[in-house]
Amino acid sequence: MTSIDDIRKQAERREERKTAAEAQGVSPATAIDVADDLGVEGLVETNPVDVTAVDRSDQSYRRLMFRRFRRSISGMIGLVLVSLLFFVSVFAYFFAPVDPKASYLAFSPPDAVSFTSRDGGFSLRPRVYPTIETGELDPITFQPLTGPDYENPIDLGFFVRGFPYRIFGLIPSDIHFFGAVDGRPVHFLGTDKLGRDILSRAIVGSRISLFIAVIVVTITTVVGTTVGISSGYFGGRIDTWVQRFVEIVLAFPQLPLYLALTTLIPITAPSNVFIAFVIAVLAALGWAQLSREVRGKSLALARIEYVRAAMAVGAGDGRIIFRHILPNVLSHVIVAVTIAIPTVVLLESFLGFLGFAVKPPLISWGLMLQDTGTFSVIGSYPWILSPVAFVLVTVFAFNALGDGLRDAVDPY
Amino acid sequence: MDTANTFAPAERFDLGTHGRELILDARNIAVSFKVEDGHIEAVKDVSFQLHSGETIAIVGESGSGKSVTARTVMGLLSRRAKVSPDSHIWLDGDDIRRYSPSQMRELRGNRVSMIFQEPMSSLNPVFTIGAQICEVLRLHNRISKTDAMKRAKALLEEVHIPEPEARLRQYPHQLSGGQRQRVMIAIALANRPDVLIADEPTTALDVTVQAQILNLIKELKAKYGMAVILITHDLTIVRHFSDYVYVMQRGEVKEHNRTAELFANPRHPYTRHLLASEPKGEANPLVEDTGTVLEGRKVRVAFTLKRGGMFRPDYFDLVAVDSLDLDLRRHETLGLVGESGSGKTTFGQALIRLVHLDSGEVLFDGVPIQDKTRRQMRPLRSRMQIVFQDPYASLNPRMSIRQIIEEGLVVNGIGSDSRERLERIRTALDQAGMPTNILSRFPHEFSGGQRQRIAIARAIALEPEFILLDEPTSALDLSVQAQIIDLLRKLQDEKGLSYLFISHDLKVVRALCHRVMVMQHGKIVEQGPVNEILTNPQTDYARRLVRAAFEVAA
Amino acid sequence: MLRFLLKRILATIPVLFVLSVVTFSIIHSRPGDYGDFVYAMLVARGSSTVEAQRAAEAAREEYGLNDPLPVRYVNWITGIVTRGDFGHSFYYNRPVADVVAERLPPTIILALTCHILATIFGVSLGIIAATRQYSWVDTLISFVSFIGMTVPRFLLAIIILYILAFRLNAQNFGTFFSPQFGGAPWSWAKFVDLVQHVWPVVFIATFGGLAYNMRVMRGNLLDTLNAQYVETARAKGLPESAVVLKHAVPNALHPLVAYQGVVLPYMLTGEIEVAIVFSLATVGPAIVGSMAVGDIYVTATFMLVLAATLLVGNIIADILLAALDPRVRIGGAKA
Repeated sequence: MTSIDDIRKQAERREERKTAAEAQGVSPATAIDVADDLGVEGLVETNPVDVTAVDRSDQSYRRLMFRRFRRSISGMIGLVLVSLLFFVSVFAYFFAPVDPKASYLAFSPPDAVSFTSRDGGFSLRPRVYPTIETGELDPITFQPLTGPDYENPIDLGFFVRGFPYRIFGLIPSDIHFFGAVDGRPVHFLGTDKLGRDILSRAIVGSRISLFIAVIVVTITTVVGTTVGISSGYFGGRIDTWVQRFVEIVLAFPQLPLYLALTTLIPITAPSNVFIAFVIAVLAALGWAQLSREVRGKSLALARIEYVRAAMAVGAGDGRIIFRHILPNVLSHVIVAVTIAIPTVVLLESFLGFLGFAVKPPLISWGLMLQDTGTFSVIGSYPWILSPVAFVLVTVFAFNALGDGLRDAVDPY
Repeated sequence: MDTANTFAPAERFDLGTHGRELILDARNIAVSFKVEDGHIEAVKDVSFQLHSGETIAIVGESGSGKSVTARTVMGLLSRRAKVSPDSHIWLDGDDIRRYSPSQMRELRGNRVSMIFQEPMSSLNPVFTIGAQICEVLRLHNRISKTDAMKRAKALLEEVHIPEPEARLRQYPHQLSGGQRQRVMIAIALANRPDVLIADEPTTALDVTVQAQILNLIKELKAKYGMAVILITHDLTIVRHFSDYVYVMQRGEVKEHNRTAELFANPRHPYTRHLLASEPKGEANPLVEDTGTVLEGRKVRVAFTLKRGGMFRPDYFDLVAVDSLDLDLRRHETLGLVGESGSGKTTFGQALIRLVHLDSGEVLFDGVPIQDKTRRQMRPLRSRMQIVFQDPYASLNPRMSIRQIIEEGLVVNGIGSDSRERLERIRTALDQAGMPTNILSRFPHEFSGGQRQRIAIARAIALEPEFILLDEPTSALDLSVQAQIIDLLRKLQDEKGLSYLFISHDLKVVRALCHRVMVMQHGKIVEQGPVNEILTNPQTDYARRLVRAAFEVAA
Repeated sequence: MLRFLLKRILATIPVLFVLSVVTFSIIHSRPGDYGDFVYAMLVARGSSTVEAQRAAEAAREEYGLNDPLPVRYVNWITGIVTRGDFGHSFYYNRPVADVVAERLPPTIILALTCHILATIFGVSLGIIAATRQYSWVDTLISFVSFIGMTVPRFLLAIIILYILAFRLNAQNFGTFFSPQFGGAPWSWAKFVDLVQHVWPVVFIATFGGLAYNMRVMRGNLLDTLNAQYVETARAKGLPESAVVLKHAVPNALHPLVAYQGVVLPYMLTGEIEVAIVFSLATVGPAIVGSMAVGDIYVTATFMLVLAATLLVGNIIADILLAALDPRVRIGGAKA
């Protein structure tokens, strides 16, 4: 052990030993702990030819991982939430009760679902008393006051008819998951400064936010993995130069750079170009850390015995990379992906909060947070912060999933 | 308790006939571990007795429970271990199983000490040697720091470490494995314990160092009248160093007896099986000169390494293989023997072009291959194969057995269609002694010995002429080792294979090789027919090696 | 030791150089510049477009905004290297160096404080969690750490801001001190006032870092507790607390120190994010503000300074590692 590089290498070697142990397929929690306790080097030696004594049934490595994953509570919760998220996002218009572009009463508070009827009796059918201007003026500000309209309750139901849309952009429909029975607008999370329903916008906005996140993460993953594997496997001069480049990229203070890059995006550009820019900006730095980690693993794997056996057998680089290195690196990469997606979603929201977001008619969570910077607005109309909840749920869901995956893949 | 086993009663056969004092009496030790899906009974019912001044050996293969037994005496088991309340361990009359934790702590490092298998990781890397020795002294005695340091220096002298004064201020990573083990012994003996437990103390050391350490323990034991429990799997060590032997298998004692008698008259079938597993036999008789299959001329491999701290880096060249010649004849097994750092593995792998040569020539079947590109080497690859030491890292855990063995066939275009390849795979597995219905299983389902057989099957599926065997049995249990040796001999006979056999274990070399080359520090020290070298070594180093391997004498 | 330091510092210079070129180019590529800002301001105040245009052109001339990019860059760099002159801030009408000197120290002090607190608490909690593995304490701590690592810091900042502003009627955001303490000499009361103003920033940034440290420490300690030398320590008869604290923890700290390269930017980013939300007079809002108006030298300098800070932080981390680990300090010369 000499320099800092050697300590990093030692950490890499620990990683290598972990990889090797994992690569050896030794189920760590049981085998190694118990092995240490028992002073055993590995699995108990049985009569060599009596393979029937091995009582584990036909189990592929993947199935083992699934079993471990299923045992992780956070992982299962995450999986359910993420699936739900994507499902809602794909069928966004189905789930949105109101047309996200239509304007109603500005800054109206969330409609409360009540089960009481006008005279105070209990009724099973949920209803909402919509907000209307009561005709009175606020004594101080002389702004019209708003309040619930008890004269005209809106009954709610599932699978109601509402504003028209197209499923997958093709099939016309007007059925919505939940909303007013008679098609009138209901605002469960209130409306924003232009009177648009927040809940519907948030649901539809998930599309863009998740889309950006998925694309960015795909790019960074592909680039990061490719760079990492090439650097680690081929080594030599390619490795040295690539690592120097990665070091420079990693030295950039990330947030300020994103801020700087987003100012590059011309305000007048059409939406598609704008999204492409945002994606490019966010992907610019994100691949570096992953490439470092993949490189570490590739370095270890390039020296492991079964890879050398493949070389001894005459396998070419391509075959070795795709059949031996990539599969063993993939598990780590998958975990990194599930952790990266919420990071990008967060970044997009933060940039939106600062004023750098997609432009209407597109909707994203970042855009929805753009107006929340002023104190007075938050004070009077706190419900415009609701997109925060969506971001929180998304972040939580993916992180939980990532945690579960990590425990399944790398139980150390 | 295997009540039908009269070979392993709870009491020793020579109890009461000893002149010596009974220091440790363990009865009915039973330990179980809680694991994910249930319990594992690591030790079922073990009893043994120890007198002062003697060494008893506990012998077993992996999974026998010998290490757990040792740790039970010290009270070093993890939280998941449960020791049966019927277990008793009397140390000089007191039942230490009934001791409170603080009483046990007083015992450890004081009256009962333990040294472990891995010297490389047994010492804390961030403290100096002196600090670590003083720690155990000041823990159990009221002495000042200066006095403790003086005692530490004296201890280092006792364990024959040169320049003890300087060593006190050094850190563990600056010492070799053998020296670290000596320091461990110094720490263990610092407070003149009554009992020393040595858990495989030399398994991770070179064979010459091994002999030195074991003789050191013997010397100190005699000097202080200690009692020693020696845990090991190596029968040679047992034969030379212990007075009484306990043979364990799967958590039970199968047989125990005085050493000489046990080796002369093993009674339990397992003991017999174990003794029979010592590498025996010799290489197949050689046909007359059939030509050279692999030749190396002035092969040189050097690495540039860095030493010196972060603030004063210093580069130097390490010549792993220093211009060596080698020639391997057909159907022959050539042994390449040496200790760690000798360069034997590097040499072997350089010969089959898995490691880069800095200079020299390698000829395979008369054709120079040292300058060939990867692509040019490909057609030759199927003729030269390799089997590695570590059975756990040689098989890709994500590939099925079929895919693992098939890879070579696919890459080399052997076998015109899938069915023909399957035939070849089945034949290879069969020849390696594995059943052929395992094709869709995965490596983690198999034990070390079975995996090694699969690795051998992978090698022979390509019908090579030459196989590089890089310590193929070092990581295996004794009984499995014997089987693999038999298998290798059989395959050589049937297929006319040539082997380059790299090993540090002279006993295995004797059983398998025709000729042997002894390496040290990148050079060949001596070479010749195996019987000559092993019975009549000419050079000093070879002599030391042979003595250490067969008599465990320094 | 000195030679090592020199070598590392020299190695960071090319990195900084590349960084400065890249950031400079990026900043200057933005559509519109300070001249546009002047124009917009004047028009908003009622000047005619012609007048505003003239003023904008004058500003451009004065600040050399019409020179080609490479010329501007070279001028800037020579200014830095020879005179220590980082350029002129159009918006504040002061030398950039002054602006930086005003804003950077609070940022660094805050980030450092958060970092130290996060380390102390994170490591302690990590030790507790590792030694009580599988107990309810461990599960609780792991849960808290999970929350800490997933809850986005700027969102937390917004929520706290909301609560403070509207539920608790707190005032005086955006400053470090209440008006009465502004220029007053240091006293205990002033310190308390300072804490009252900055606690959200410290809390939020620390919380995230703490969670991360705790995770890493717990993992490392669990690994270390399986090491052979830990068993040796027990075999000597040491009490368990000494085994953990004296033998295991120092070894578990190493990877943590080596990870400073990842943690430092994280802490810095956190501090910046939260400070932006709270408009505290530190680096974050300054960068955002200057980018919005095209105050290019301010932006470029801040980026450069931040990058330099991170690189220096890495060097310090390396030295710290050498101090902790004798294997790094002294090479292995086996006799």
